[in-house]
Amino acid sequence: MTALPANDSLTEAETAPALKTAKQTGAHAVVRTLEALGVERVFGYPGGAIMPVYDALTGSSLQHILVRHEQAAAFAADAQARITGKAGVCLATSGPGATNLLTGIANAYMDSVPMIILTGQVPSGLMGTDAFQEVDVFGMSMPVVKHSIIIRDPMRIPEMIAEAFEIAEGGRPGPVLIDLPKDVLQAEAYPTLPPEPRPAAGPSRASDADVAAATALLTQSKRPVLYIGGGVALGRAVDAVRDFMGRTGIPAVATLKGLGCPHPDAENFLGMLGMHGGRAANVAVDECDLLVCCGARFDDRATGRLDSFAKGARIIHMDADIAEIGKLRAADAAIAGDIGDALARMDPGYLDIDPWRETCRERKARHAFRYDAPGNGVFAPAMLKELSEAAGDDFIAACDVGQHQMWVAQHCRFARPESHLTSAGLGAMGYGLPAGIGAAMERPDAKVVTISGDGSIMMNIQELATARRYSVPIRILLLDNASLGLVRQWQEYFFDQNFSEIDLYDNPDFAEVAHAFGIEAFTVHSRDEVPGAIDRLLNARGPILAHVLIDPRENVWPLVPPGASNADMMED
Amino acid sequence: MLNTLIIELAEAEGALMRLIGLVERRGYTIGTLDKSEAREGQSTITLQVTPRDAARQLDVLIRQIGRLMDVRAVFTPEIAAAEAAHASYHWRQACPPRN
Repeated sequence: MTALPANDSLTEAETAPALKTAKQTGAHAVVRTLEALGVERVFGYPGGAIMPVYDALTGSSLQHILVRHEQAAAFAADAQARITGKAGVCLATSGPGATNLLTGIANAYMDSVPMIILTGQVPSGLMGTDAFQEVDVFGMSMPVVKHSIIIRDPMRIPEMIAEAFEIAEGGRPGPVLIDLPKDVLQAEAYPTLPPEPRPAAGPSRASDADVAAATALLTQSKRPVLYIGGGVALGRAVDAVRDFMGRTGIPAVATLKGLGCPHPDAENFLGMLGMHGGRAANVAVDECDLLVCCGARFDDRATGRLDSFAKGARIIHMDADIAEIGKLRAADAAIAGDIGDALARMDPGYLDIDPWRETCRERKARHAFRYDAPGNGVFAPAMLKELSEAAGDDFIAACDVGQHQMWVAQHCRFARPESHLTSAGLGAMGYGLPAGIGAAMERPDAKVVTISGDGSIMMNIQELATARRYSVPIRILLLDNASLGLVRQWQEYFFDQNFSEIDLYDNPDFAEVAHAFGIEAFTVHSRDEVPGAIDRLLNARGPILAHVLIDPRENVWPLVPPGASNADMMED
Repeated sequence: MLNTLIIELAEAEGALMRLIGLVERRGYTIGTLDKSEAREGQSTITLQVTPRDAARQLDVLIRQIGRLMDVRAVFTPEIAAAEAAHASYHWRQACPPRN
């Protein structure tokens, strides 16, 4: 894409024919800037205020994916960004279009996903007058964006969009919202496009003194544990973490977002910690004398009762974002910057931790998950384990939220962190289907499986139309227990079995729903049908939906009760 | 407990709203607020803030303010003195040890 000449460099003879054949507006500048920045795909939904951009999309190299609800545009862009590491782009009109995006923006913010959100806005002169479809999305979204701007001058569109991408992708990534008043989009404008996409600024390099202080704590430790979060993948430190685990043998646990960072087959990887973590992981953290936090943020679902979390341990906290250090737990040493670089520079030499490693290893074997559930009903944990193993290293799970989400985290095998797309921080039901669409469009050759529940799928089921329209190679595994299972489980144990508003006995026949959208679908009733169902799913071109009936009494184990220490797990 | 924060803020659309929203959202009430006249695209905001509960850590709030794009600098009278004494702004000064 060559840069458009600046307005003042054109002679009258040059501009006149150009204007006659192709009048350029702010909206064209938006589209051309996205093209120049290397964007290939945007997810969106048209409407009044954003119509100039839709007009300018004609003839553009951008692939626009028409979703059926703006929230899905944000979720799909989010999933694409999690896979590529580059900002996903979504587009909506003002007012309801913009407010429908908000859940998706919050989702990206909570999980530090780079995203660009373009919203149409009523004309500048009408802003602040309660005009038709006017909503102050700039103000509404402030708590859930990394940054946001209103572009008032069409000549500044390229430079401001380019800067938004840099902000979204740099440091600790996050969503950046760009509000575009309609008059700015319609104004005639010939701005100079940004010359080249500039690489995002990486995190800073830790000082030698900080690395030495952290290393010294390691050498003194007899029972260290690595606590690995989503910041490892965001900081491109996966290989460094795996190398460090191999070099030192230190046992490691992962958060929901950290899954896939440690190699799933590593002997010293103990699994997920936290509310639905395994016993080996939670007990190791409880007993450790040094917790090395790599890109995690002491979230309450991971820590349980905070004042009893790793209570005897000193803390090394590594994070690209200095604002995370000491937020919930004071650090004894800290690396505020590049985690991978710091781990590579940490060489503690011989660590006297063999008895500790053996204890952790033995506990991991003793408390491994069991899959020998009685009966002939489908046992979802076993099915998910078999599915992920059959899909292999190309497996990408796009999860919804609920019991199935925890089963996926506990039982699936993730070769890489980007194999596990999940709404971790926000816990937004409805993420799975649009995220799976975004993932499958970006990686059509991968085995992308949306894993959803009968509650979650209904939050964005209209996106079956998107999957059908673009023949998206997505497999949907719908685990149907005819209830809001995780809420039901909490009501069973923490609300005296007062089962309030969780019964979805009158769900539609989801296979028939899929058929009505023109999507191949089948129903799985019993355990003996599972191997065939997995084969059919993985070998389909997609889209395809497997509707799997499971026992509504099935629960997620272990479970740390709310407010309890992670050491006090309830088990089946 | 009253704490004074001094923030050098770019004169960008929404910058003041973003700053004040963050302080409120992160668990502080704003007692007094003073904004200087803008000079060279930047103004100085002085806030007196009080934590809503004892668990709130002012050093964390300072770093959360510091990561806003429109914030050029944020300090307390105490940190300004510490900065003057040290060439580099080390995490230990940003995150003082606490009990």
